[in-house]
Amino acid sequence: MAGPHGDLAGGLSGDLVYAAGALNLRLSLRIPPGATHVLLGESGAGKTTALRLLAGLLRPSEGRLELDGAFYDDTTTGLHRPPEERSIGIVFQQGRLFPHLSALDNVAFPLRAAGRSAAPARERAAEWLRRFQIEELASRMPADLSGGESQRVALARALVREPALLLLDEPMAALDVRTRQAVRAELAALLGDRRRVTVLVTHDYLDAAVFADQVQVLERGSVVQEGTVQELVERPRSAYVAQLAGMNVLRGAARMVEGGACEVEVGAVRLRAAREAEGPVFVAIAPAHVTLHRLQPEGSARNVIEGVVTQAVPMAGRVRVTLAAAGGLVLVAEVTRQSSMELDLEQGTAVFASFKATEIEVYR
Amino acid sequence: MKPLRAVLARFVVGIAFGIALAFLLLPLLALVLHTTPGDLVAGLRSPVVLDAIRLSLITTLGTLLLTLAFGLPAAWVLARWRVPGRGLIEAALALPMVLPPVVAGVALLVTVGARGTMGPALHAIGLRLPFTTLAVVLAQTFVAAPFFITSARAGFQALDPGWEEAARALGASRGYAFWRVVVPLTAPALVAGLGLTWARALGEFGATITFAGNLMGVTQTMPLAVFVTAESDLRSAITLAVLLLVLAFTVLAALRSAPLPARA
Repeated sequence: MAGPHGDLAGGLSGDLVYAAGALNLRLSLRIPPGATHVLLGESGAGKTTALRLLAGLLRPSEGRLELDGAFYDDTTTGLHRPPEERSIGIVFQQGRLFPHLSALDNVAFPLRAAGRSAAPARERAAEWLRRFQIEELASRMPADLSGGESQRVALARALVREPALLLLDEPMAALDVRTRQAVRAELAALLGDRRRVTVLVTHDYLDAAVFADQVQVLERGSVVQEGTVQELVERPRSAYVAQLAGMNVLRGAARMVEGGACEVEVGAVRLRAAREAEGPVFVAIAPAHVTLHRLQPEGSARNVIEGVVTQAVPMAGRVRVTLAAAGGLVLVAEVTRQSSMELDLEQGTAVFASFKATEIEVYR
Repeated sequence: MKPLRAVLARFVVGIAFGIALAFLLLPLLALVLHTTPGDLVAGLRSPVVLDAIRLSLITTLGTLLLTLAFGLPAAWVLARWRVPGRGLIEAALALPMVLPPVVAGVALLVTVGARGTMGPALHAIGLRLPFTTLAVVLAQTFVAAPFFITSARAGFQALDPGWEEAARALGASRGYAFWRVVVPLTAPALVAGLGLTWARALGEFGATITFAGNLMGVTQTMPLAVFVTAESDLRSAITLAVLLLVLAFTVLAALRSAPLPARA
């Protein structure tokens, strides 16, 4: 049954405002059943606050929240359902397995809290441990579990009541790189297989790339960009997203020129793009599309920026070169190892960066 | 000659330590040496001794229950709520710990005694406190409960609120989260507080004798019985004294060896 606001059959729908101290969080969420929604942002952006609002640990200053047709918050009527009356499961950053309970009893905890008696609760918990193939951990205490094992137990604990909403708070953050990959793969296989809505908050772009159906980028409590990972990567709207996606993003003023093209003034530099645009715009250039030269390149089809190498980081088969140009402009180029060697790039080398007008993305 | 001075300094400090130790422990040792196992067993047959032991166990148990019932919520409020004037309240709550116990006894008399502030009101509902066993419990609680409240409050304060939140977000009501997560995770502080309160209540003398009197079998706890028998029946006095000594030492030793609060 859909609620009065329900343009969705089930799923999560919420418009929430939370103001406390310096933080002023504004969220607008529409998540269809089975989808995974990622809130991406740096620490202090309001991600954890968002999760606590959804969990019911915080009361919104304003707004409403609806899950599968049931209202959880509505400040116009004063409705606020406490966490125990919400169909939620949660995985915390550091697992937060209760240190005085065994893995099995940790998984059984939500059932016991809901009033289930010990024996059936443990039986159910054991089933979940089996499902994650960690039944041998049942009697272990959290102190004796590895990071990866802890997060698997924490995930079983979050799912044991089969919640309509699964909340994940940086579930990979405390894991080492290898374990992170394994757990990420398991989690990816698990999510989105049902009607359950998943909200994951993270500062890790890879989490978003792997899990997200839809991403919202949070900065200082506000959503600055929203879309699929693909959209985010191609058209970042903030330095933060651009950096995460590994894109060059510049802000400038566009002016139409003849032939369906435009000229964008970015500080002291004037770039030519094969697109129609007018007014304040973002300009995105993929680092792989930037070529580097020691001498001023010929040919008018290319944009040329003169700069100095500030950093050259070797990657698999390529080198990621950061340039500083006039007017504080920073540009990242990815060149092959071969050409990096030919150009003899190192810190302080003066170079010319060029890219085609057709390879610039211009958007508002 | 730095090394020689250092050696001398060590020597002086060592001597001071030895004197301090001897001063504090010799009287206790003398107490134990002054008695034989036979004396102890004989002392345990005296009705004064038996009554005192029975009464002390009952009243200190009552004190523990009363302390838990009111001290646990008090400690929680002080640790987690935004209470105006918290510093003053905490100082006031610690007052009974440093007040001369006789003063505590007088304070109780003028509050709930027959002619005290609340005396007539209590009398009207048929409650006469002074010189009853209940008065002993009140005197002990008044003096000893702050030990528990202080320790429990510190334990609650040191606990990361994230644990309660985790429990709540996993579907626990406030009560369930408190009893199944907060209490187990702060158990060392709570147990330590209870141990101190019990030991203090067991040794309570001044407030008890002032407020509850000294009636054998009704208000004459072990310390009071030691005081009374010290003149007439030294063997009983020593039996009780040794018993008190052993009990107090056991509690303190157990608390010292208890594991430190978990910081997960």
